[in-house]
Amino acid sequence: MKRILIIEDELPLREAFALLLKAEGYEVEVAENGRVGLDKVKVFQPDVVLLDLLMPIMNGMDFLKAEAKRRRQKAYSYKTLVLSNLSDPVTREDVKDYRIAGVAMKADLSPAELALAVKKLVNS
Amino acid sequence: MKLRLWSETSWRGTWAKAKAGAKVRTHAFVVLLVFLATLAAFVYYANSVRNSVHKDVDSAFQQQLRVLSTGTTSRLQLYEGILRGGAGLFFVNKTLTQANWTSYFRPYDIQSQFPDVEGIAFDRYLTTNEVSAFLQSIHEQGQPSFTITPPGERAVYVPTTYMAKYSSPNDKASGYDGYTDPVRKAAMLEAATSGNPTMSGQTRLRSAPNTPTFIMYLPVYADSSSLDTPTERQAATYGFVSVAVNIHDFVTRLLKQNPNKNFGLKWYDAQSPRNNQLVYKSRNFDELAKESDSVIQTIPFTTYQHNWKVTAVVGPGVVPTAERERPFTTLAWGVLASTALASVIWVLISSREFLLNRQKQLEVQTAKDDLLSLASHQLRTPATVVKQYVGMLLQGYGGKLTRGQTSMLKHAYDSNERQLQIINQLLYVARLDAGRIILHKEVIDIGNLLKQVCDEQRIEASQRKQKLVCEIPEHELAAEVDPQYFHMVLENLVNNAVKYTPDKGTITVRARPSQDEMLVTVTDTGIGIDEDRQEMIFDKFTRLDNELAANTSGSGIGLYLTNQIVSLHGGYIEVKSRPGHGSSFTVHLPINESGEGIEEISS
Repeated sequence: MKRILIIEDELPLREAFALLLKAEGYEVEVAENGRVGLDKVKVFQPDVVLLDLLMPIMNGMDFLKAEAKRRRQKAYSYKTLVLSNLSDPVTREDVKDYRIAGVAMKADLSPAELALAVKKLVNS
Repeated sequence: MKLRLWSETSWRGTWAKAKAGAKVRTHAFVVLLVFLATLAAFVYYANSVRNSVHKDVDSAFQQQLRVLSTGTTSRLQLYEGILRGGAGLFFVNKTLTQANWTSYFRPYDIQSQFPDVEGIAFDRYLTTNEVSAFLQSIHEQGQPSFTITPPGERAVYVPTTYMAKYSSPNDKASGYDGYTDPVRKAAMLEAATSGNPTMSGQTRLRSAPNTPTFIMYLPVYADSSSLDTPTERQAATYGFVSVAVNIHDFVTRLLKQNPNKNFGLKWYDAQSPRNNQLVYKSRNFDELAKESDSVIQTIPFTTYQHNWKVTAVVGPGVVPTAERERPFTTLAWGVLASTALASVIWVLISSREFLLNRQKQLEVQTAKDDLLSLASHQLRTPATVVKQYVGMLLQGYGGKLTRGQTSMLKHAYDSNERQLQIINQLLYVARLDAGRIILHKEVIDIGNLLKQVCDEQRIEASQRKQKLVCEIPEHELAAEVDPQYFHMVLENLVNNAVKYTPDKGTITVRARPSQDEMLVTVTDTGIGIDEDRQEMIFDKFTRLDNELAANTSGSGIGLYLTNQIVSLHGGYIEVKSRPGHGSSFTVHLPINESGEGIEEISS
């Protein structure tokens, strides 16, 4: 079973995503910020990480920076889908350097579209 | 109809201008203060330079006076020496002859050594009862025609007895009684009673009546007389050895010793009956006295018991021209330097002000941007949560739904979608109004973009049984645009056409290049727009009231945003519409290389 890690501070949204993806048949783990996300990544070994950007304690950008080092050492490989509600241009410009799999505006994605996006990532 | 970028409201500008005006006034005051202070310093300096020029003129004046005074004294001492020599003859023998006199002075070479000397004489001092004996002895000495002139009875006669004459060699002076001339009499009396050489004031010799002359007398006393008191000395007076000096030649000679064309003088006899009679005047005196920075001074002085007065003038010419002009050049440089300094300070203050303003603007802008980002995040997040849960319910993740439930959830979902769209548009407008929309332009095929938009809109059009025709040429329609924003433009225009065209209507999308423009036209067979409202549709939050609007969701922002983005691309939107027949929106997009009006709005 493919593993999905959801890093999202907004509790109802985190649970919605978890509910949706579990229903789609994935093994799902959640983290409420980047710091927790970093720990869970090591233990949980996800195939896909859904990453929010604006979060307390450690935001998505800092998570990407911290993971960039391990990614270079090829300690693991998972695909990152950045899901944010920040204005598009800002997000795109900022995460460009981190070789992420995709960027999407949460407000634009319906549950079906999200499920489809994750499915594509898992299968690629 | 061309529509350009909506301009700033003016009240904010007016307020900023008023505030800037007060600041400019303060700066102008500071700059003026610096200017005046610098100028004042230079004026003070120029004045001190001017004073030093004055001082130089003054010291040149004193120097000239010293030279004049020394020259006069030493010259007169020479004459005194000559007189004492002549007087010495009478210590040896009281009875001399004219021949003795002439031959005694011959070695002095008076004519060449003392050209200012008119003559050297011995004048015998006689009381009335001595006259006949004197005349007899003179006649016996070989001057039988000797007489005393002017004639007449007098208590005292002082006729010129021996004469060494130089200026005019005739013998008119011989026998002339100088005692009849009050000027000479005064000097003789003074000499006789004091026993000292004494100078007369200005007088005229009979031989040279036009030449001002002074005569210096040295008394000769009778042998073995007591000479202790003035009375005794007067009683013992035997005669006077005298030298007559042409004043003009005397002064000219003095001045020649230290020639200076910037020095002039007037020489007065301070003791003459007519007080302060002018006896000598330099030719350049009046000219020098007229000059503004000249120094004029009158000094009384006494030579051999006679009082004179000299008015001397030194013109500014003693100081070199450059030196004299220094105060003015200093002042001129001062004005220049003050202006330069004031300008530099003005520029410095202004540029600093400009930088501060710019920094402030940037800070405000950054704060605005941060707020915008946060607001967008905060507004979207709850709506997103609604979207996810309602979406999941609709898609059956919560279990099977009845028809009624599905319909209700669909309304909720659509409404939530609208809310999210409005949030997005509002954020774009906010960014646009803050001038923060940055176009990332690339050359793309507009045709491809249009096909994509048509495909996206076809679903809604087909739901309304509309015909959506996309007439796009096969060849590439290259234009430089920001793909994301230009997609928004096209999507908005086509979607508007779909929304505002009744069911079964036709929407036609065409694209073609024309000269230096790319034209994209969206034509519909919709309700149309009244001519007087055509301009309004691009205003913010304008929604036209019509039968279709009531059934259509819209924020009134779409066309405003569309028009602004086209403007940012340097283009404009043309509207043609006939109410009841339909509308046509044409985007005119410049494609020329220079890209006139196409500029990125940078932060």
